Amino acid sequence: MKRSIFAICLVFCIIFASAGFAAEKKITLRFANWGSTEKATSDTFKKMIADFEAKNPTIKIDSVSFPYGDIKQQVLVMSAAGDVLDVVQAERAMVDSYIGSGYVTDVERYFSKSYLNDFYPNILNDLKSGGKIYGIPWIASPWVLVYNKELFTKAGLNPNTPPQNLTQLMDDAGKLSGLKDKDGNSVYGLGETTGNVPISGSSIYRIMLTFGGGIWNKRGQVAINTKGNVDAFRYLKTLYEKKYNPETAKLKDLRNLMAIGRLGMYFDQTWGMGGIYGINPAIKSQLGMAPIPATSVTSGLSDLNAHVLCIMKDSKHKKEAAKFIEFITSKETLVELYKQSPFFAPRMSIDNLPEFHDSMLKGAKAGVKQIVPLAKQNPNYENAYLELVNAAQRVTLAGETPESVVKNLDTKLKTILK
Amino acid sequence: MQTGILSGRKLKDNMFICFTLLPTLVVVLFSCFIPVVQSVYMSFFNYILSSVGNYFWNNFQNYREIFTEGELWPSVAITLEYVFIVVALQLALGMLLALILNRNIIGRKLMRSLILIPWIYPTVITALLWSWLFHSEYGVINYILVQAHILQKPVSWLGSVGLALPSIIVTSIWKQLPLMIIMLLAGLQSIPIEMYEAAVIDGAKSFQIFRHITMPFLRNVIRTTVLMSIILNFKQFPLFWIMTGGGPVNATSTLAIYSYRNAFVNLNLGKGAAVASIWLLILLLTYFIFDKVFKVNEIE
Repeated sequence: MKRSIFAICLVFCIIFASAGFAAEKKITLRFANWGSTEKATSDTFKKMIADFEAKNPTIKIDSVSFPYGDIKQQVLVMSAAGDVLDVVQAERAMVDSYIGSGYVTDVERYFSKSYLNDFYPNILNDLKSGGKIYGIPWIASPWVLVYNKELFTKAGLNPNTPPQNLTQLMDDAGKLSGLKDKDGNSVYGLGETTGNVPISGSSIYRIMLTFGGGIWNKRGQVAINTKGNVDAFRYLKTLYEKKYNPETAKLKDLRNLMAIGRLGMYFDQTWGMGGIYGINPAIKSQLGMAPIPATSVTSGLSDLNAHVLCIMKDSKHKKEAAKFIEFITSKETLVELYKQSPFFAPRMSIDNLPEFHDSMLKGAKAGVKQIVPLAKQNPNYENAYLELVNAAQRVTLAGETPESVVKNLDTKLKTILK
Repeated sequence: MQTGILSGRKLKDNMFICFTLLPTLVVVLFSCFIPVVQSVYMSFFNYILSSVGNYFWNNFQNYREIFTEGELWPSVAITLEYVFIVVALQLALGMLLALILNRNIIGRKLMRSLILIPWIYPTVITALLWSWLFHSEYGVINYILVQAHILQKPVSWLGSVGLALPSIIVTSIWKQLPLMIIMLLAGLQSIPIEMYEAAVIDGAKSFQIFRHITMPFLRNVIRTTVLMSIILNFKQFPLFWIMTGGGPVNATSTLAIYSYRNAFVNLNLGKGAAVASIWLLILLLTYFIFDKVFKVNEIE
């Protein structure tokens, strides 16, 4: 009797278990990204997704790929049309547009405290709006000074002591500008990007911060007409007048010049090195990296450059999305990504691992502490950045005074960021 | 009785014409008319893509912003300057080259084929190609001019306030000239040879032949080609966006760039549509003025 009861129970257990197993549906997460469209990262993205799916057989990742330049528009259009995405890869400045749109959700509740506490506070705080976190930083970088050690030696400078302050920076730029490359072309001493793209505006914002200026005052109002900002634009004007800086160069132009040995120093994100190696792999050993030199008012400050992972508000699988984000911000995935181009891992436990600090990045390690979180989120940051570029070009190419440009910029940004 | 048969046949003909035109009209309605009306309609609304749920009538706010922020008129001026210079130079050069290619010169057929190459290139490729040619550091143009001692040092063609627009104009002429030449050449070949022979017998000189025979016969071709060129250049976007992005210091910010920036950089579709509506009005106005001027000449 007991045996037959046991057999019946066993049969029921098997039936229920198999029914439950059959009912367990495979969830599909839609991951919008640009990484899988780029040659340098596409294989890493494929592997990362395959590894996650292998570890989580009930979750399938549908990679929705867009070129970098189109992703923001596409994500907003898809969201407006009710075409639901779950996880979105975003550039730092895009996050403001997503927060403004209301399509992304705050993420704090989906992650453990220990996970969130592992991030550098200044990096995580940069993604806060109204006290809530709207994205998980994936890879991060402050603006850093990149320099050519061989050109430093040629100019009589010590390649192991990059400039620490503004005076040294300008002196070194002057010495480097006197050099010629092997074809007799002149070398530029110091590159600052002022090309017509938003990322140039982010770089100019970094200069404004370093000179004690910025966009917002302590009361959260736009306040551009300050001495710090005037000094920042005067610095750009000086670089132009002394011909240290190539005119209206985009970051890719500066990377090209650095790769062919025609640029002594320039400011870039750490992952910009991938662009330099891509053109000239042999130059890797000649490159050095350093934090932003100090001015008389600050010890060098930077806005955050980061790739961020956001969870969309309409996603029906937010917990699974968080699980995927945890996986791709783990050590294993980041090590793979680091092989393509260097970056700082925003998670302290990972950033301090030896795999993330080759000899070049070590020089710029202190740069992470120079990151200043944005005082206020605004969906129009990218447009504001383009106005900063326009202001820089007015000072340099159109010969306007820094004072008049800053005054004009104050009016414009008050409208754009209202 | 015969009149009745004729009017019945006319009715049938008209119905047949309407029937054959119908597919075209439907396509034009859906691909042209409805989007234009939708765009004009949208221009009266607050429609910002990055601000969900804020789609409402905004009491002409888009237009008020455009007319007060001071970017509209410089954009109009740059657009008109660009269109006028490109069309005028294209017509002059196109006429010259068409006249040359219309003569019995050696390799005429080969030259007529080669001249089409710039027209075959997609505009995006043309923009990228000329961006590299004009590049201040690695550009071939600077290299040649410096080697020939015409320039002492390389010039930033696309990064200079005064040179950016002329550089785009050069690119645009290079790209569009073949079409102008081909159209004019076709016009030239339709002029009866007897007209020229009679003029030569009457002792007319080359310029007189050009003025009194070639030009009057080409008038309709010129009118159509110039009109096409005006419209094409009025809406020119890829050359500007790829080569300069509207810079430096807004020196190449045309109405197309101004509209795109509002709609797709600021994601303010309502304001972008408002700029596009003003742009459409200016284009229509230009067309009517042009049409009137040419018709007056035709009557004369």
